[in-house]
Amino acid sequence: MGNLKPEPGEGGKIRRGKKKIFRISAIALAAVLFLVIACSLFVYFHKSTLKSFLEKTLSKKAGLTVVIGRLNYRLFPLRVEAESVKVVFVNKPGRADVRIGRAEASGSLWRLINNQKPFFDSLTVSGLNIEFAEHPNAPPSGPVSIRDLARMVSGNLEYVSDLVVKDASLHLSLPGEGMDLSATGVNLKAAATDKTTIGLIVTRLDFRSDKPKVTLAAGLRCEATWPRTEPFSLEGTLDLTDSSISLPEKQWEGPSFSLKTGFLAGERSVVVSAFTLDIPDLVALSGSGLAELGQNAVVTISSKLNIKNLERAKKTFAPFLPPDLPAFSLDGSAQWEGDLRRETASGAAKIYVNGALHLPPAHFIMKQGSLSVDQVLLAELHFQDEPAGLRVNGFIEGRQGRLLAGSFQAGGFSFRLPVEIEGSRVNIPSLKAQVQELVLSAGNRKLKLDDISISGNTKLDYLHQAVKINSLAVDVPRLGSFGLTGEVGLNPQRQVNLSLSSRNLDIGNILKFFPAFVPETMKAWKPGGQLDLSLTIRNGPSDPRRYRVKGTGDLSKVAFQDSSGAIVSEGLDPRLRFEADILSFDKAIPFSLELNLAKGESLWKDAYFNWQSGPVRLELKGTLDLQFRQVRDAAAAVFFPPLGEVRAGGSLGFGPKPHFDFHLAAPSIDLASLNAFLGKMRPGQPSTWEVQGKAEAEVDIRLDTSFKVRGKVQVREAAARQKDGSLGLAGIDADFPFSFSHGVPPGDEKTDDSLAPGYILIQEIKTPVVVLKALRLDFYSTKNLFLFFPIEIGLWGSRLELGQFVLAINPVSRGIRGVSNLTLTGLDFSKLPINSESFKLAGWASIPTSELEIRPGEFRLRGRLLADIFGGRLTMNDIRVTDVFSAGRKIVFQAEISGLDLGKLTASVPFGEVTGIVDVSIRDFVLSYGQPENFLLSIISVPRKGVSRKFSLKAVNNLSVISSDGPSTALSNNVLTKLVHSFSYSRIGIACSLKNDVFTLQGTIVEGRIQYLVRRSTFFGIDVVNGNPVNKISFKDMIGRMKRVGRSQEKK
Amino acid sequence: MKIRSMKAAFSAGLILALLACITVNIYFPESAVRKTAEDIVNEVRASDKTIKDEVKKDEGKKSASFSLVPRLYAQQETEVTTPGIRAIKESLKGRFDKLVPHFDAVRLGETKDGNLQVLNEDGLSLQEKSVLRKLVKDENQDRKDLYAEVAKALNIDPSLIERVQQIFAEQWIGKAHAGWMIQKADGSWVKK
Repeated sequence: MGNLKPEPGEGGKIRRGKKKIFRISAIALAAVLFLVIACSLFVYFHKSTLKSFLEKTLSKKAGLTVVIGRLNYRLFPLRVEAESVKVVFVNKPGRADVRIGRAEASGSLWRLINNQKPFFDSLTVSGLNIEFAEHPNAPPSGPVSIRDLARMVSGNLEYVSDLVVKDASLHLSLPGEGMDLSATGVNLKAAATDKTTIGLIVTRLDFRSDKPKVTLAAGLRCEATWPRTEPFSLEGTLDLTDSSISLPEKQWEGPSFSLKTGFLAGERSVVVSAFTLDIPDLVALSGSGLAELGQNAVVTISSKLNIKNLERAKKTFAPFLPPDLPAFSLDGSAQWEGDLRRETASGAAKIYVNGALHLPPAHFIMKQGSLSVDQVLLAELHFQDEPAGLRVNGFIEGRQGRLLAGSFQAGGFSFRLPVEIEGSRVNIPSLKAQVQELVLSAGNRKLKLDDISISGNTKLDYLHQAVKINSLAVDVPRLGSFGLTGEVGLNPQRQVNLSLSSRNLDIGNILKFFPAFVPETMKAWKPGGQLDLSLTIRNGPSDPRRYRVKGTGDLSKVAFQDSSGAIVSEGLDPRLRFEADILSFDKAIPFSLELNLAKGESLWKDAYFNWQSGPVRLELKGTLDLQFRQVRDAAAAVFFPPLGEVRAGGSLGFGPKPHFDFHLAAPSIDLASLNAFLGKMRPGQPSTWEVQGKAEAEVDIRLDTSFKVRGKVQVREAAARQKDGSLGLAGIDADFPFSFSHGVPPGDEKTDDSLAPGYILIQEIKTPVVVLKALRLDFYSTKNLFLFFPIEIGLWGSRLELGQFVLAINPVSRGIRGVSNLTLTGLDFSKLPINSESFKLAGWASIPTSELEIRPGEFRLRGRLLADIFGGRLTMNDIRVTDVFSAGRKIVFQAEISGLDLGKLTASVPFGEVTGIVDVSIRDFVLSYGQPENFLLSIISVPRKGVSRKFSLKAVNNLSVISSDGPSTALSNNVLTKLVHSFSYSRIGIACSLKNDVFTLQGTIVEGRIQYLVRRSTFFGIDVVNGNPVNKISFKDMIGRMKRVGRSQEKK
Repeated sequence: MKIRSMKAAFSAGLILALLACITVNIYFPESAVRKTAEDIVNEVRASDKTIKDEVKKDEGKKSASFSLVPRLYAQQETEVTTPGIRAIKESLKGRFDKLVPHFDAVRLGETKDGNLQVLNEDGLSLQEKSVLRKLVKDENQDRKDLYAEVAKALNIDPSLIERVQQIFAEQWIGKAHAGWMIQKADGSWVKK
């Protein structure tokens, strides 16, 4: 204003000029004012102009396309009403379409003119609809900042004191983020003073996300307050009602739930002071949380979780459980209380858990295939995250369990597992379990064990997916204790390496526990002894289903006795090694077994075995076929000193139709050892034989519904001798094939009827009376039959020929039948060993070819033995030997001697000279036990011209001794006997018999009441009269009389 | 009706006729068997001091009274004998002394059918059990053979050997010492 001060001298002009300027200015100003007023009035009253102006201005200035359907306002007080407003905003992120049904704002024109906020006291919007569609290729929007969002809201609320939005809807489509959000029934109240306060109610909120695919439907209620000044903090509540989540990919429709939260969000943190999540009758979750935002975000949640019904929870959240989880039901609840902390550092997230999980007793039922579990479970686990890692302490307990797994059944199963989890390792330091009843079934047989207790120490390593059993003790009352150590893999390879051991198991008790597995015939046995068992179970890396079981069983002081006491063993110390390859679900188990028995003794009936002096070692390999209950492809080797090494191969069935099919080979049998062993089997009765030599044997034995044994025994360089020298066999070589079968059906391909050649060669057979050299018997063997070649034996100058003969063996009765021909030629009695100084036998004997029949226990010659003996002709018929192989064998025959020259006979025996010819008949002669048992003898003289008939005095006396036990007193007192030494006779008639050891002697010449043994001639001679017609002499007496006859000769 | 009655009468008559034709006549000389058994058992147990004493007592009684055949009892041989019976008797005699300790120890008993039975093997080693079993097995085989031989000697039908056994059993039991185990008819065992 100082510049307008007039200069001196030019005052008038200046004043006039000034007045003119003032006048023009006033006019101009009035015109402007008028225009303004006119315009204002024009605008005020011509609202469409202002509406257009506004639409154009907003489009130009803000890049919006604004269409206002109707605009109404008034200035005093300021009030603006707009209807049917449509705003379209398009920028790089996308396009927003906003429709407002009606908006009504009231405020102050002066605050608006003076730019004094808030311009409006209230803004009420109804019928608001916002749709935002993100461009498909829109750049990423980045994380939303709560603070920026809040400040933006606060900034917008600077213009309006109270904002009310009614019945709004919102739809956000964010294809780039894979999200879609729509909200209907949105009601918002917002006010901004020192604090900004908003209240939001959404009747229905639908949210969909593609990454991951999830949809959420809920009702939303949210209140939030934050100050306009720094520092920023946002406090409020957020409630979701009637909410549900679904996961289309898992085809999961979640249960309806409600969520209530109270939160306080700072610039870099969010505190959830309290939240509750409730799924009715299922889950109740409450707690608080803290999230520290930023690059190193930390989220901490303290919560209490109550899963009210585990079974329903399992069903509700089934899609989230592992797909291969076995079907189970868990009837109970679970509670969790603790903290969950999630830390993000350098892009990596780590979760820390601290708290306690409590599982009250819950009923657990699981069934998968043949596995069935019914158990009450409870647990208490405390989680504690430490710098070193997560630690979990607590226990898992099972009660009143029942476990079924195929043939395995456990009742009354309970356990308690104290657990210590460190990182990936679960340590179970003192496992305890009890099984009231354990049943193992095999077919219709059952093994039952009661009150089993298990204790031990195990570890579970999730990192290496393995369970390590440091020690596990299984105690079975009255049976023993078993120790288990090792590892079991939980990975797909399922590596198993377990060791089982037990000491001092009572064998008697073991069999008591296995009654169903003990054969019926052995149930009454009385076993005793102890067993130390060691077992390892491993599976191979190449095939984890294949398990190798190796073990040893050391048995000590083993004793057993059958019910009758016929089979007894004591003090056995066998050692058993075994190995088996078990392929899971395969019922064929290859195995090997080794048994050493070197101590103790056994008794089978009266046969005694001392294993110390004859140790046995058995090696057996084969395949145990559980399906067909047999051992097939078996190969065994038995090392037994008496038999050497015996090898066997074949199969053994132990099912309902037992069978035994083996090939046995004993290539080196030492006959001396075998004989010694057999001698030791009979204590107190040592073998009467001395045996030497070698033998080998091969035998095929098959036993099923039929019986077949076929093989060959070979003997080389053997010799056998009776210790008393009664028989000696030297230079024995033999090939002895044999084949016996019974019940073999015709056409059985295994039946071999071929002929097998064999022989028996004995270089020398020596007895006290005969020596035979180089006796060889050739034969063929076939089924139940031996076909012998003819054999010829030189015997005391004679030739004994046995023709080809067949021996048939009945395998059931073991009876032997056969037929042959026997021929004896040129037997010279003088060469017989029975000859002596006092007895000289002369003559020849022969057997014309006759049939020899062999029947069980009997040899029968269907022919005659002819002999020329002492001038007579002997004919022997019906010769039989019965009970051939017993001590009481009997020799039976009938004999006739015609024309026996008594002179020749009495010259050979010490009886005294008798001359004359007699016919002798011997009927029913039986020799048993080496002594005559029965005969009927008749001696009748026959006259022969030129042959005198005389009795010497000695003969008369000896006849008297035999018949009457004393010399003839008549002769001894007769003086004639001193002059005459022989007496003539006319006839001899003697009958003698033996039965039951009683001899009878009678004269067959009867005159009147007198029996004559010898009748004199008409005028001279001697009569020998039988004074006792019923003369009976005992066998013992007769032996005495015969001895006296002999002695009288010796004295002479 | 008449024909039916005639048929029934004829059938009954036929059955009666058939029954009348069946004649069972098995000879069993009980007194001879008893005497034989007594003689054999006495002879087998001749080495038994107890039995000798009994015989002496018996002889004393007999000599005290008048008899036409004095000492006949003691001197008499077994009337029924065969080589088989003699051989078996010798075998039985030779074994008896070995059996006595087992009788005394109540390990053996005389059965009611004339055999021996092992009753108790306590205290014996397996070797000793083997010896005992072999003794009993051999003894019973000998006795079985003896009974068959006696039956044969006395012409007794083999189906009646059981009665021979029973008669012998009475003798074996009768000659058993006091304290030896014997089996009663009902199968129970008692100490004599």
